[in-house]
Amino acid sequence: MIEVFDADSKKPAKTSSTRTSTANVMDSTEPKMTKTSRTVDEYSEVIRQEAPTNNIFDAFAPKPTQVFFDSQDKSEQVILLLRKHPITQIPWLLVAIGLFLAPVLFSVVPFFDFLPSRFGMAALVLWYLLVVGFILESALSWFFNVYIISDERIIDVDFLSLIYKNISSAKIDNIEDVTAETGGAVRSIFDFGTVRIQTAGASAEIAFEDVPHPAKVTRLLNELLLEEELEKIEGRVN
Amino acid sequence: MSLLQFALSINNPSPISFGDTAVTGFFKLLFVTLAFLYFIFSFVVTRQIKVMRTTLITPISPVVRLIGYAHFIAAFLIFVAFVLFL
Repeated sequence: MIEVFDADSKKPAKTSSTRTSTANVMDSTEPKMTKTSRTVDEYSEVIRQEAPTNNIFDAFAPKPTQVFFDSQDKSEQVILLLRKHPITQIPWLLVAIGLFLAPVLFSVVPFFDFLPSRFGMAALVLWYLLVVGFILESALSWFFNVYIISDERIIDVDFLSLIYKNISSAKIDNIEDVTAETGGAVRSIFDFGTVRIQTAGASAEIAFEDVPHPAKVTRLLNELLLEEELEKIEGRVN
Repeated sequence: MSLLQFALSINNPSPISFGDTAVTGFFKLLFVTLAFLYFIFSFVVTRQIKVMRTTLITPISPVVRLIGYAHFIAAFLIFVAFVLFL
């Protein structure tokens, strides 16, 4: 059976290991293009060594199950989901603990002794409400600021403040250069750093900041780049 | 008042009486304003959570939405409590 490319057919599902179509046999003078594509486990050694991630709080989540993003194509598969290393969240956690303990530490200072006691209680309630808001905002920021590597694109999702959202994406074959930066004792010990990706698109550089295992991320991107180039050479399409 | 009584009163000043409505009124206004501002902030957080949930879809999206709404309701109840009871 000759495997041919059918331009009218829709993209097949990613679950099959090989995707073929035998509709519309092409003219013999035209090049025969195969619609065979490989899964990420077949061409990426980095991903092959990783099990699918079920933990939604992972900062390095290969093949995450049940995680999608809003511009994701039906046939697009999330290969790696990244967040900032949890170690980078320690500063705000310490601040939150300090804020929680502050009323206890400053209880010796009579701030509202000249007012009725209900004002002291109101101040306490308002203080802890602010602390809860601070913790909620910090946790949401860490959880939803993600870096996504799919089999077609890299995406940087940034929520910079309460009302500002920035999503940068670039196709894998527009990647020109990948650089991993790891500096300092803490980053070396906990193996996290910044991966800078130069692209040919509108976003000249996309930076995956403070992500775990930057060397693995770099290797994965290089493998994806190579696979894209092989697909073009061999005439395979997604 | 003797000099000794005057010297003692400096170290033991009389507290402002609860009947001093100007001071309590000012602080009530301050607390109510802060609570209202925080109420607005909590509303913006719920909108932000909605945008975040639609951008990145995860299994805990319903839980995050619930936390956002609980935070919003708590801020509202505290604002109302400040208005009524302070």
